[in-house]
Amino acid sequence: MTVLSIQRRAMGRPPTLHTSYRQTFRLWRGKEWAWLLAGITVAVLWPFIVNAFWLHLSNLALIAVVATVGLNLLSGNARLVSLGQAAFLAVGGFAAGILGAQHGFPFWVCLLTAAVAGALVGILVGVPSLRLKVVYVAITTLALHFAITTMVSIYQVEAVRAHGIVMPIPDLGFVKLGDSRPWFYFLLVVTVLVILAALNIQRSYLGRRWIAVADHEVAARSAGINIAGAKLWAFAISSAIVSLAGALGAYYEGVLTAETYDIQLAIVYLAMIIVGGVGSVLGSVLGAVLLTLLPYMLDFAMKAGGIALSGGSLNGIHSIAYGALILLFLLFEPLGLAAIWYRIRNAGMLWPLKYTPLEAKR
Amino acid sequence: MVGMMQTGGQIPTLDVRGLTLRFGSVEVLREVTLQVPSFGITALIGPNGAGKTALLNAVTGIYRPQSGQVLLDSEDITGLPAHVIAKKGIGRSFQHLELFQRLTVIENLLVFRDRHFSGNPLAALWFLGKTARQEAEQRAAAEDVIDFFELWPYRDAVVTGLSYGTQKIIGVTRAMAMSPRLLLLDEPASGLTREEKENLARFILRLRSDWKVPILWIEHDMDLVMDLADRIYVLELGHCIASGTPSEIRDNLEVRKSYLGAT
Ligand SMILES: Nc1ncnc2c1ncn2[C@@H]1O[C@H](COP(=O)(O)OP(=O)(O)OP(=O)(O)O)[C@@H](O)[C@H]1O
Ligand SMILES: [Mg+2]
Repeated sequence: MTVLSIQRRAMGRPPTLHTSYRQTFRLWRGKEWAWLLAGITVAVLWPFIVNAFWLHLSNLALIAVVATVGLNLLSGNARLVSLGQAAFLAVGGFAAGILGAQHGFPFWVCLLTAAVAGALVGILVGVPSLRLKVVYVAITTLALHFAITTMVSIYQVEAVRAHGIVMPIPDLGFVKLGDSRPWFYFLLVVTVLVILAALNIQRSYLGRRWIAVADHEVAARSAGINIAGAKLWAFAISSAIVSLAGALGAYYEGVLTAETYDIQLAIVYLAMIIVGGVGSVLGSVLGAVLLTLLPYMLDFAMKAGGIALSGGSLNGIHSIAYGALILLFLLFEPLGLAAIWYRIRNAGMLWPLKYTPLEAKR
Repeated sequence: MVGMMQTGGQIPTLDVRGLTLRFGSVEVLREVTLQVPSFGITALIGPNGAGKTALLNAVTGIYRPQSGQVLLDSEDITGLPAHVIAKKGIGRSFQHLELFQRLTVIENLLVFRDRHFSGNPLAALWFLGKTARQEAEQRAAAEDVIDFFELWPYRDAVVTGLSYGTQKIIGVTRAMAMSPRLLLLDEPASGLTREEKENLARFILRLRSDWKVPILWIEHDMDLVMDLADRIYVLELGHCIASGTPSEIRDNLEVRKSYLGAT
């Protein structure tokens, strides 16, 4: 029943004396200054430390983090397993493409519209999902996937009459996002904001509602929760974030093509939350980063090993790697990388003791 | 009718009138009439499958009764959606553990305080001002309930790992966390050890005297019921066959037993 769950609460924090109730749910404990400073320093220097290729990968990873955080709210917290991830990314991408590239609307307007469009499509697919169990939600979102991808392909062929839409270079007013470096800083800020929003949802009544509804519907109704409302909010907020990531991805890649949004993309995103940690924001970050880098790491490894493969076989190797990773985690660590991290931290905190205190248990 | 006894002419908190509930051709409740006055402990007893849980479900909107009326402080709540009825202040514990397994104890309580949260859910994204203030206020209220039920060691523990008895008490705690005007308990003592039962009895008596919340209490443990209840209803095969004070019911049951050879 709860195999695939990560507790959102701060696992393994040492017992602390609280002097007000606000302290019980704060994110910032006032002791993380060193970490924050180190984080900011690394972030600022990052584009100057790594080469262009790694900076490009970092940007892709940041966009993937945003999309994964969005998906994990829906599929991890509210347990509405979505195969519509590629569709929501496409909604965001094409909203930005149509408004930004075809009609010349400014960047901000396009991002905002992409998010709103995502929310609306989310609600649209959410309504028929209300009375359905998890498996069927996967099927309605799968239907959405094919509906949306067909629509954007038709749009691309009929309206654009080209192999893709060339996106304009975003202009923030004080800087143009033409180069990987400004993109990195911009994406970092967006990612941090989205992560904060997700953490805030999880510590608020909204996030508790989603978990309650997923864990026990009758009890949730008896608590006064409107099930339909809670699920629709989950669809709306999650899809808005995913579509925002879709728009960011389209602008960043510079060219928007319908073929990008295939079903494999939707599955890779599910892999990200399984490998990272279902229901955990930290898990979303870890899973997205690892699986974004995975194909490149494999290629590096194979090159180093002197193995040369053609494009098709390479793709096959990547799929096998994703599949193997999902299997390994489902079998050995269903709570994902986040749980591994918490275990390491608990062990470090308690060292040299061996037992786990009640609070640090999962 | 048996219904009006001992309510002292006051409006009962819960007034169930002629409630009938059918699943297909099976009549689970037949013209059940029962009242929970605004003070004290009203017990509901009866053999397995009598329809006790079904009655709670019909009252709270989980099931839709075919006929009859449910009045909460003389407001007709028959057939309203379950969450709407809950929001009016009916707190409920469940016979089988139906806690939110992924949440901590305090979070389980806060979910049952859901009706006390207001505002635009989008504001939760930024967790500023009202969201944070509300969260602190509600947390304080939930902590009062934790204090009352002496659950301090468990407040931040995830429910899954706790013992059956503890989870059972948490079920009652959670219902009280709602700050309900009516408390419905479905066999809170089943599966508890003797010590846990004594603790529970103490809590129920204090709920009655300190928090003055009217309680409708389904129970199989006759000793507990006879000791604690102010009045008792007996349900059998979906029908209310007797009601009265514990001593009246005891005599009544003795009589029935001697006639029928069974309860
Ligand atoms: N959803 C349902 N569909 C069909 N029949 C039901 C349903 N819910 C309850 N019943 C039937 O209603 C009858 C009463 O069940 P209920 O659970 O209310 O009994 P109870 O008095 O609570 O018993 P126990 O003491 O075992 O908890 C049973 O015969 C049961 O099979
Ligand atoms: Mg029952």
